[in-house]
Parts: sequence; structure tokens; C-alpha cells
Amino acid sequence: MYPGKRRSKSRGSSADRLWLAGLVVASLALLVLSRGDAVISRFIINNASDMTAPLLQGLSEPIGQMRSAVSNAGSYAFMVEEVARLRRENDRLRALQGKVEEMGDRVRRYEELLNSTKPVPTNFVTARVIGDTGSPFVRTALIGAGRSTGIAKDQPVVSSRGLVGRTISAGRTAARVLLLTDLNSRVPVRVQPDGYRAVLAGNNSDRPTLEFLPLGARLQAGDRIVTSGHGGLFPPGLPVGTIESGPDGRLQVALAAVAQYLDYVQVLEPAPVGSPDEPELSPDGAPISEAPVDARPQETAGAETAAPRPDNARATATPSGNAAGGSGQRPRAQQSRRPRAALNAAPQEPEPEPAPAQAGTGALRSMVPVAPEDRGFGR
Amino acid sequence: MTIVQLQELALGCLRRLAVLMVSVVLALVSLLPIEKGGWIVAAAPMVALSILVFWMLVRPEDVPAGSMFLSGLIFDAFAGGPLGLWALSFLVACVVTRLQRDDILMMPRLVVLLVYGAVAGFAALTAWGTATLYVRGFVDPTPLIAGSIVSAGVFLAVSLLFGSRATTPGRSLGHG
Repeated sequence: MYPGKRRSKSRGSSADRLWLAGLVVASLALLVLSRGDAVISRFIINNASDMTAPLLQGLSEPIGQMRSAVSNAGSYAFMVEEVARLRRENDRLRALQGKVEEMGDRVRRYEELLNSTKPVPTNFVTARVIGDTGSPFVRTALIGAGRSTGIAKDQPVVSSRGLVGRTISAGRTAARVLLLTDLNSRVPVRVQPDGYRAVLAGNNSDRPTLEFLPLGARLQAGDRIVTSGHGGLFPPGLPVGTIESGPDGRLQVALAAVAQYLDYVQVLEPAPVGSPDEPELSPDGAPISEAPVDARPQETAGAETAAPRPDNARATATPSGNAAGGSGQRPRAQQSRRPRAALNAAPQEPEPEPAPAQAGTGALRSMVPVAPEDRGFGR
Repeated sequence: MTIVQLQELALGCLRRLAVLMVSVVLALVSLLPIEKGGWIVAAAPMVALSILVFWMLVRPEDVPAGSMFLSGLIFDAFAGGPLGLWALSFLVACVVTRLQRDDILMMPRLVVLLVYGAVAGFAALTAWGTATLYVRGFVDPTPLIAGSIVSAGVFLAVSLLFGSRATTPGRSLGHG
């Protein structure tokens, strides 16, 4: 091929082979280091995020405008239908508003009677989603806020519709969010209204699955899924999604916050350390503000007036063991031994669409969240 | 060192940088928050691979193994996934291409495309296998398969556009 250079080429080939073998070993070493969440892998990923953040931030703005223009054009085409739909929805919500206010008053009175602690208001930082997932194997998003605004690893991320995921790494100006759909995402949840505990497991598809459901759990389309607060990473009551009936009749989880339509998200202050199952202890070790032992879980107590479910819409879950973060089903009496603050924490209401890239209501407190067991990417 | 030598050196450096820039641009494109249904994300590394493999066939001196490694690493770092996954896959593609290079150059274009398919298949299989081992669970290979098919199309387009011009000493790609 290269006349007269055969000898030097063969010497070069040998060096090339050695170099190639060295690079393969380096790749494998990087994989091992990534798996162990080594400092170097975090350093490389965080710096790559920081470097791309300004460019992506610049590009994401016109893309966002284009997307909303396309969406608006679609809306104009169906404006009459849309107005009628919104009116119907408005009527329905007005009818619900009275009920909600009445229930809120009742809950407040019960809380006062029980002398329960109030849920702590959560601080947050609002950030724009500047980058989508960049690999077929991971489902992550890049947001345009990082350590400089107080964001750290393992903070819950929500959109106006519900839980989106959690931060897995934070650079100076950008942070990466592990979405609920990622293969490594595991979120302890509760299925309402029956209060079944489960773990929402991502599978790299748009429909994550529920694992570790208790034996005999009966789900039906329309059941709401909220975070249970177990594991201490996510505050309890964040809306996650609903159970829907799939095209083949099988029940599946539809996420409240669809990753494809994310624009702005809120990074919440880490949830307080400790599981809702662990009663708060006074300095002498005795449980404080503990409610009387009730045979029913709190969530099912309020569901007694609900209409009976049709049997044909029920699905029976398979038995399983305890999940990461202690999400398996426990005896009922033990379930009720939870601090009232956790049980009574109202689901976090969706925040109104936030203003672009503003800081939150205060500096994020530095806390050490309990990380869930996690199998790999982006730890 | 003469001015001509300096110019050649600078041009060589630029060509090598251009190879890396392909990966940077495609990695950035795969990160843009557009509603793309995931196919761009899956296709981006494989499209970069197709361009690198073509370049490796016609100008092997411009695509050393280090460039392949760095290109893969760029995708890994930008995606926020495990570092080394695409770097390893690109290196596997590099090895396979180098082993077959002399034979590939003498083949008709259609056969070259099939050979590229095999190279992309090896790389995709490496990526998928590594990801599966990494998470210790089954990873859906569909996006990779789709990405490989898209990249084969890009390879064909690139070889049609540049194949006749990009020549190696005495030979041209796809003109056996």
C-alpha cells in the first residue's frame, strides 16, 4: 500500500496495537470508575455540562419559542373546541373548589385537635430545561442552574404537573436530572386512594412500571400515584402520575410530567432525612406527636365513602419483597404508627408556571439526603 | 522546519480537529430539547461513527485511535451516562475497520455499505452489551438498531458525496 514504508509501517502497527489496547483498557477503567461514582467521572461530566450549558441555553430559547409557536398554531386551529373544553373544565373545577376548601378546613381542624406538626414549606429553584437526554441508554435532562444557585446532587425535581426526577450531578452552572423513565430511577410511591406502597421503576420507556406492590393489591385505571416519602429523598405527596388502561387492556403508569414537554422545572430543597415510618423521637427517646394506633392506614380511612369498584376493572398484583427504601407492605398497625406530619402532608399543589430562570424563595439548605439504592448510570 | 512543513502540520491538526468537531456537533444536536421521539438521540453517536469510519477508510492518518476514543468520550460526557461506553464502542469499530480496510477499499460501493453495516453492528452490540452489563439488566436495543440503520444511510450519502474525491494513494473508496 505504501511502497518502501513496509518496515516502518509494521513497527508503527505494533505501537498502534499497543496504543489501541491501552485505550480499550482506559475505556474499561472509565466504565468501572463511573460505576463507582468516582470523582474523576463526576468531574468530567460536570465540566462537560458546564461547557455546553451556555450554548444550549442560547439555543433552547429559540427552540422553546418555536415549540410554543407550533403549539399555539395547533391551538388556534381548534380554538372553538378548546374554549368549550376549557369552559367544561372550569365548571367542573368550580364545583370541586368548594369541596376542596371544605376538606381543607376539616383537615386543619383535625390537625389542631391532634396537635400535629405542620408540613414544612419547601424552598425551590426554578430552572429552564436546556438539554434533553443525550444517549439511548439514559433518560436525563440538563437544566440551566447548578451549584451557583444552591443545587446539589439528589434533590427532587418537579414541573408544574408533577415529579420529574432527581438531580444526579451538579456543575457550577448546570445540573443533570435523572428522569423517572430512566432505567435506574426508583421512586417509592403510594397508589391512591387505597394507599398501596410500591416502587416506581423506570425502564427507559415512557411507561415506567410499579414494582413491589403488596400481595393482592387491586389497582384500577384512574388511581393516582404520589410519592410516599420513604427513603427520605422525595417529600411525600408529590404527584407522580395515574394508572391508565393500555391499548391491550393492561394497566400501566402514565406520568404526570411528560419529559418531552418539559420547559421549566423546580428543584426542591432536599426532603428532611428519615422515613415517614420512623416516628419522631423526643430527646429521651419517646415518640412525640404520635397518633392513636388505628387499624386502617390513613389514606384508606378517607376512602370509605368511595363508590365500590367494578370487579372487571381490577388487577391483582404479584407478591414481592421489600423494596429499596423500605417500600414493601407492612402490617397495618405498623403503618399507622407514622408521624402525623408525614401522613397529613397535603400533596404539593402544582406550582403556577414559573418565571424564567429565577432563584427560589431562599437559599437551599445544605442537608444530606438518604440516597435510594441505585444501580448505575449517572450516580 | 520550512513553511510548507508548518502548513502541512497545521492542516493535519485541523483535519484531526474536524473529526472531533463532528462528534461535538452531533453530541450537541442530540442534547437539544426538541421533541424528537428519541430517534435523534439514538442516531447521533452512530451517525458520528459512520462519518468517522468513512474518514478512517479514506484518510486513516487523520483518524487515529485516540480520536475515536475522544469522540466516544465526548458522547459519554455530554450524555451524562457512564464514561467509556461509547469510547469503547468506537474503539471496537476502529479495530474492525482497520482490520478490513485494505479489502474494503477494493470493494464495490454496495458491499462497502454492507461492511459498514457489520462495523456499526459490532459497535452497537458493544454499546448494548456494555450497557446491559453496566446496569445488570436488560436494556432495550431498539433505539440502537434504529440508530444503526440511520447511520448506514448517512454513510451511503457521505460515500456518494465524497467517495470519489477522497482518495488514498492510488485508490478510491467504492470504485473497485
